Amino acid sequence: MKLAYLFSGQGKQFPQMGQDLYAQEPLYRQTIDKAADVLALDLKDASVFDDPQNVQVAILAMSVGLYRVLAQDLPLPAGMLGLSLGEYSALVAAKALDFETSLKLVQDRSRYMAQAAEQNPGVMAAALKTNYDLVAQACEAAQKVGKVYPANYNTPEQVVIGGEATAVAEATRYLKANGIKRVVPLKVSVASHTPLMQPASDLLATRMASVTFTQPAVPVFSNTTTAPFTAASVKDTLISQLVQPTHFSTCLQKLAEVKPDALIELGPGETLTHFAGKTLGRDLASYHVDSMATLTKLRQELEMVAE
Amino acid sequence: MTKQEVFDKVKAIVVDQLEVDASKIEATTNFKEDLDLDSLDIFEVVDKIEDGFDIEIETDEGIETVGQLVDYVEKQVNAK
Repeated sequence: MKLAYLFSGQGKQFPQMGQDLYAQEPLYRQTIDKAADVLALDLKDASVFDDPQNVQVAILAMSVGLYRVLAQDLPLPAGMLGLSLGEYSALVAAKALDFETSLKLVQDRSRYMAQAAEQNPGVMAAALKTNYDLVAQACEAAQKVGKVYPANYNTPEQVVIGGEATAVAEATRYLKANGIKRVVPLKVSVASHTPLMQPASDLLATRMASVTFTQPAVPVFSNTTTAPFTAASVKDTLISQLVQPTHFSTCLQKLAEVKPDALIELGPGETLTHFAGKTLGRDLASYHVDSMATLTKLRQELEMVAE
Repeated sequence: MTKQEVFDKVKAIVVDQLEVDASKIEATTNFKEDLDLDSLDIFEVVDKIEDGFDIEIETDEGIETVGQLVDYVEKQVNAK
């Protein structure tokens, strides 16, 4: 059976996440304990989420923990894909990046992004039932007011834009004037994956000098280039990732070319599973795992397929 | 369409779109509180409802529960 994995980004974290897995899955517990040790942060305590700075590392640790649990019984996947932060989880799972190193790197990445957001405050909004050309035109037209860019090409019909508040408002007006009914503001105060993140990208570039990556053991498709990461390009790609749009929908199409029998989303929520359904159709079996209940369901269903 | 027919179809769309258990969907089910949806999720559902019934739903109608959505859709469908 050929599997492909999707690794969650930020947005769907929930306070008690992973506690049931921690109680019941030894390898998960070991992974979280290791992360807690490396970061000097009690990831079991729900109050860690009171500090938004801890969200990225918590999702990374959870995703890697889940991958390790599944890897005990399942073959090496045919391909992997993460959204934004999820790319780091995917690279750890693909053995391109050491787990301990990734925790400290992502902790710093998170801090750089928060600092950049203070320097260049931004907002984001999701345009639904739209098309890529119209979003590009809207951002172009709104440049007269300020900075706004396409930030996340999530599905063929959903694009998130990000930039300065006044410019995002102007682009929203343009989209609505051109027949796009819904442009939904997101609850964030940072324009990720746009040039407003340049200060974070610059800091990450310096930070990357002390990090070592190896060639991924399986293809991990980059949000930024849509090509598989290589040992030679991975640093530059992750540095640009902060200021370039994510092409998740195109990446899903690339991932589909490895002809997986099922997609498994790891990490809180099922946003990526929904993006996959909208990009690839519902025929491809897909599962998401972020709790004991969803893990048990996956195990039962895969066992049934194997029989 | 009768209210029951509208409810059944709305429920089927919500279950399919959100991949939730059908037993969780009742008239009193609150999208945000019971299904833990954010505004983006809710709009994705509303889009599917529009396509499924071939109607337009204004977003500032203050729809919070499945029952309110059914009432709104019923009015639109029967006004056509």
